[in-house]
Amino acid sequence: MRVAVLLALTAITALVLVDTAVANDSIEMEAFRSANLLYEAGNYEEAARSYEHLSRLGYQDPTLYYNLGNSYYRMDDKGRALLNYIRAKRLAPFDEDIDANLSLVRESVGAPGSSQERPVPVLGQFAGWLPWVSFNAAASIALLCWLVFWAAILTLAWNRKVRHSLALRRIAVVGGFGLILFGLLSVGNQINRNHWNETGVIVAMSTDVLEAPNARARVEINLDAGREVGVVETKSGWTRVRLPRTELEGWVPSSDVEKILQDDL
Amino acid sequence: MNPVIRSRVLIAVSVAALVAGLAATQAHAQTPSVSASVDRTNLTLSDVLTLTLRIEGISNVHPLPQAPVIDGLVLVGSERTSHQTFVQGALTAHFEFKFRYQPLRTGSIEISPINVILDKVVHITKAITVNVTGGTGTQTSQLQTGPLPQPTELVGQDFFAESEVDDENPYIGQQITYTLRFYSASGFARPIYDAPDFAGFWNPGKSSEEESLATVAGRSYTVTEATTILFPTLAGDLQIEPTNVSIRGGLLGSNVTEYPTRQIDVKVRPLPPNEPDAFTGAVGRYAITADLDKQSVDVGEPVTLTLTVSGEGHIESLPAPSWPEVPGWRAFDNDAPYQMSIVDGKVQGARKFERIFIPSAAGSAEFPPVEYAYFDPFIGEYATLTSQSLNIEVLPDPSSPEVEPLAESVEDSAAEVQDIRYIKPVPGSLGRPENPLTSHGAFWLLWLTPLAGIAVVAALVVYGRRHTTEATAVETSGAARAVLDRLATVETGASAADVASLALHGYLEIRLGRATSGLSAAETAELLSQRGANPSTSQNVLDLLNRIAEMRFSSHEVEGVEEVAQDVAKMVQRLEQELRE
Repeated sequence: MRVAVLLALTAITALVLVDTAVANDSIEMEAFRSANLLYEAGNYEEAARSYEHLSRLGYQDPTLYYNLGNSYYRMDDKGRALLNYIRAKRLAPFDEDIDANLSLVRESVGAPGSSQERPVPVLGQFAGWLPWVSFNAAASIALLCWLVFWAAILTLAWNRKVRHSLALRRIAVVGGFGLILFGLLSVGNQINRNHWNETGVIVAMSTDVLEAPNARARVEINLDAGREVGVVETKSGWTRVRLPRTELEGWVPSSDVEKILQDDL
Repeated sequence: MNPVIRSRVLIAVSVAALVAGLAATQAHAQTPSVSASVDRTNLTLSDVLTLTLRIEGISNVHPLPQAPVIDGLVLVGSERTSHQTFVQGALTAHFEFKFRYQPLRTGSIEISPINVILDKVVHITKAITVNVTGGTGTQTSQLQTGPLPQPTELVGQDFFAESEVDDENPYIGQQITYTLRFYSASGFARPIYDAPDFAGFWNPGKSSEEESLATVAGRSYTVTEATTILFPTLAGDLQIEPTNVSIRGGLLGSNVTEYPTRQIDVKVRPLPPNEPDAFTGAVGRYAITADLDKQSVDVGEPVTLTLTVSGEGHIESLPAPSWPEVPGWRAFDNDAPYQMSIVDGKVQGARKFERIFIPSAAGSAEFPPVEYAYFDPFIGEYATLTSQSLNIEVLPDPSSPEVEPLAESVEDSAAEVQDIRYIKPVPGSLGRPENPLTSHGAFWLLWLTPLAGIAVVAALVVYGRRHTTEATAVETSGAARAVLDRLATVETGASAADVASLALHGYLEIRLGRATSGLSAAETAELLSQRGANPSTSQNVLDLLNRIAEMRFSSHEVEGVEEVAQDVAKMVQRLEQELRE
């Protein structure tokens, strides 16, 4: 009897929670729909504000970023448009619409490409060829590779037919290690892209890259909106950025550059 | 290959390599060279001819070359100079022996080849011919002529120190040379001195030291000359403070005598006004070249423009040029490496100024000439150098979508402008940031699953093996214990043989896995052997079985009935041991 009462209470609680979540979600979906209507009406600024509001609520959705990028593009804010297209691509790497708009914006800002990393060793380059998948997908791939590897090893150990076949032995060993390497590189690539090689986009119309985090420091170079840069560090309202393909580093006001990873959420 | 032959070949190759290395080392070492020259080939009777014998490529000259006897000339003086300089970490050395002759007659005088023995090798110089014309000079006035200035204060003292600069009125940034000379009439005195701090001057650390012989006021001196290169960094009146040269004397060098030099006043001139626009502060005498490291680049790919400034002056602190702007290119400064050395007492070298340019559009581009201006202190004027312009081809970035070259008309590009794709409809749900799988313990547990599985399987296998062994041991021990228990109850008489027979057969049945009462002796022995019993034990078992059978079926009293139970017990224990092993 007691068990039945407990189960019933649990079910009721769960239903209330789910209902609340659905209700909240529907509010956000309504906001999204409104933002789309604003965009269709040509009110890009208000649309962008609505999309940004959703983003600040913690939603990280490729469609949200894509539409936000479109709004900024229409506002001629190429920097923020590019930033949001890149964010969208990270979440939906195979979306053709995102690809098309991202390429267009990159072309319009004269960006040389998306390669922000410094010259990397061979292994790193190999990791760079891996498909752009999410971190969890990469972690899952690595785990799957690990399990398949051990399955191959166990098969090799206990199956007499496999053990006595040189070709199958080779396939098991080489394939197993290959899978492990692939899995680890997938994860390493994600970590490298997300943490060790963080990138950002210049969102100010134009900003000076200074030699030191000081407004009176010598100007090294001037960057326009939409330039993709490596983000080295941030302190006291200044962000040290690195130019792609070079070793040039300098400081810009943190408000002039936005990191692609939204770590403030 | 036979190992012995192979080892010999290896030894031979090693020896050959060693010999070749030594030969190469010897060849690499500088070969001594000896040359003779005169300061003039036409002279009058009033002139003094200096014959210089120069020896290079050797660290020590022994024996010292003697002044050659020349018909028509009389030796009036001599001087020896050894010059050792560290230039870029390498020691260079040469020796000069200067012999001064006074002509005794007019006409052509031949100086025969001079033989110099170095390391047991005779080096022969070329013959030199000089022509002497008439003159009235006096010998004494010419005796004081020499490469070293004659200090007026030196009037026969044992030791004397002096210092000077070669230009007391230089321009700011112009090289001057500070020279400290120490005259010593004692061949054993070793001068020690601390260089001044040269406040107001930049000292690139390029110093050299020479030692020579000189005769001043009728007395021979060993002259130690230390030179230091300086660049004034301030305009105005500067002073180089006096320095003391110390000589240690007395027992164990306890007495130190100091010989001070005078203070040197240097009046540094500022650079004149009206400098050219391209002037950034270079002082000296230079030439420039400009080049690009690539002839063509992709959009976004950096290209390095290098302006090399070479010449004589303060190379290390040469200022960068005023780079021209190149439309459509982003630019920033890179390294400016330099090389510096001292040639004939002057700092020379080159500095490479690099500027990295990154094109943002495809097409042909021209880098305008780079101007570099400097102040030439030797003529007191500014000079401006201009490099050649450089062309480069910029190709579209292969990793980016096609970018039309800038050279094409803007209209054409505008006609092909694409628009972004339209916004997407409201999705079914909005994604939230997913928690990384790595933050879940279950994810890592799954990683450990194969290892845990292997550990469990291995444990099961080990446990299974141990269990089987123990079960067998228990079963065997039980069989043996049953036999022994039964034998313990045996009483004297024919029934004892029966019990012994039953016990032994019962034991064998358990151990061999089949009934043995119907088996032949050979079959029983073979089964025992298969289970691991020794042949002798098997034979003993058969003998024991025969003995028991004889006891059981004999019609008369058989001796040893009492012992058979003990023998069976011993046999069972023996078999227990062998079969277990």
